[in-house]
Amino acid sequence: MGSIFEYNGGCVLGMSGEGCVAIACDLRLGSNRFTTISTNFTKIFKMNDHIYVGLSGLATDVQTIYEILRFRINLYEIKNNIKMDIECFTSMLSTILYSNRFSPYFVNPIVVGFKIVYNTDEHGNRVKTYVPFLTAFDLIGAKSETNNFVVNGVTSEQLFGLCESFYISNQDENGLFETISQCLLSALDRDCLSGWGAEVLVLTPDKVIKKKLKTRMD
Amino acid sequence: MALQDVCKWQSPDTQGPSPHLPRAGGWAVPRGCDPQTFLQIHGPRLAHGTTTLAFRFRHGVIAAADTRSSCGSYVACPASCKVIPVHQHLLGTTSGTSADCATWYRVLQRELRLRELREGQLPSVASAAKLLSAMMSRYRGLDLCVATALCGWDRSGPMLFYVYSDGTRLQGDIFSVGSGSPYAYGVLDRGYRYDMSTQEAYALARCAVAHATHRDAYSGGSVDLFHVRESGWEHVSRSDACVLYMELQKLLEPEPEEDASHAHPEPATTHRAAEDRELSVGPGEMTPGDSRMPAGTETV
Repeated sequence: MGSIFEYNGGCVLGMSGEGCVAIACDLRLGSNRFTTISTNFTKIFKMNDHIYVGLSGLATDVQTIYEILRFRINLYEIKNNIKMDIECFTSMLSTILYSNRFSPYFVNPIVVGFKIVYNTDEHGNRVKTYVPFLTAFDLIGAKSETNNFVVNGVTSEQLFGLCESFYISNQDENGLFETISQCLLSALDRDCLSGWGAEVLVLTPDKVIKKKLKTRMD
Repeated sequence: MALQDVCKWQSPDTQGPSPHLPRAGGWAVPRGCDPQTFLQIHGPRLAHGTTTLAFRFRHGVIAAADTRSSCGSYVACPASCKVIPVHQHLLGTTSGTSADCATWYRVLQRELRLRELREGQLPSVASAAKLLSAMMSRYRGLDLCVATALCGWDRSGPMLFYVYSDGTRLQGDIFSVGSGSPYAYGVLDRGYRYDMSTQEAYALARCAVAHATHRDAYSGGSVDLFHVRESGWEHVSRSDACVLYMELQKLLEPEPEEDASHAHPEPATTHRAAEDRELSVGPGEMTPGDSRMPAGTETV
């Protein structure tokens, strides 16, 4: 992470569980590294019911990329009369980022959500299954899909350590919420440029639970 | 003298306050480029960034500091001690590079002890400051970073000096040093009076550092408070910065409390107006005293 990412600070984190996924971010907006100018700057954006994007990095690029993605996904859904699928979305994001290969957007996105898979069961009925889906990107669009956790931001090294240690696969919603929250809180305590509040969203196929965490405000 | 010549004895190097470290030109240096360039390219990212403050008042000198030691953006230690005692009546608040501060303070402690033995009394704060700044000014241009406030009580009463590694040495009543110093100065300037009581002074110092830890990224952890009196220095308290900040915010709530310390309402009210504009922290988000994690839940 070069120092341009430290300008505003911030981090995002995603984890998967049994039939659920969670995405979390801190709420700090810094200016010129030292000063905290807002404690209410969320980095998680809803694209559609099953696609959530976490954008960390330079705040102006976070806002720009969000608007670009929102435009593109709405246009797709109008033109094709179909909800955009998460794999299609990640490819689109990767292309958008790579198209600025030589003057990149200084964002490190993660995409968290469900891949909808259609099967036919024994009676010949079409059955929808929601499979947890996590992908992390670098600033020029390299995709890296995993099935356990994704982290990005200035606090990524601390988050990697904590997630590797505490991640448990196939947890239910409550266990997943506990794990992701504890990883994030501990990482924020070890980083100067993130923190000042945190937000966690736990997604299941039919609902979203959004919680704000009480963190150290220093 | 004859014996001296026979033994070929050389008198020790008396070039002034010598820290008995290799001379500026005698340090091990990398080949091929000057130390500064080398450190800029390859050097470690040393610990910087802090909030320390010191002010003198009728009953002595107060020194306060946060306890976060950062290395780049990483919190290397959340509970370090940035106030270093030099002798019983002298403390130094340190800011800048931790290693530089620790070493030069040890050197200062040694030199003052030697002076005390030679002269029969401890040097004044002014001469301790002079000694420190003279020693460090020989290394000027080599990227030493020591920004400190020497707080002491000597024959002329409470005394406070600011010393910086380029050789700056200033006497004053209030100093705040470090990346969080602008925020601390704001609170200090509002509440400082020479004739404060001791409790008011403690409250002012804690309030200033707590506000600085809230805004400055590189300050945090706890707030250390020290007091130098006529009888010597005393570590008054170490309190968690966030708990302290929340208590100060609670005091801003509608019912005006007639609490013990007068210093609270004055510096705090000017902050409230600023806070409302800049931070959009909703009322539901920060519930003081709630030790469980989730503070607000929405289910869609």
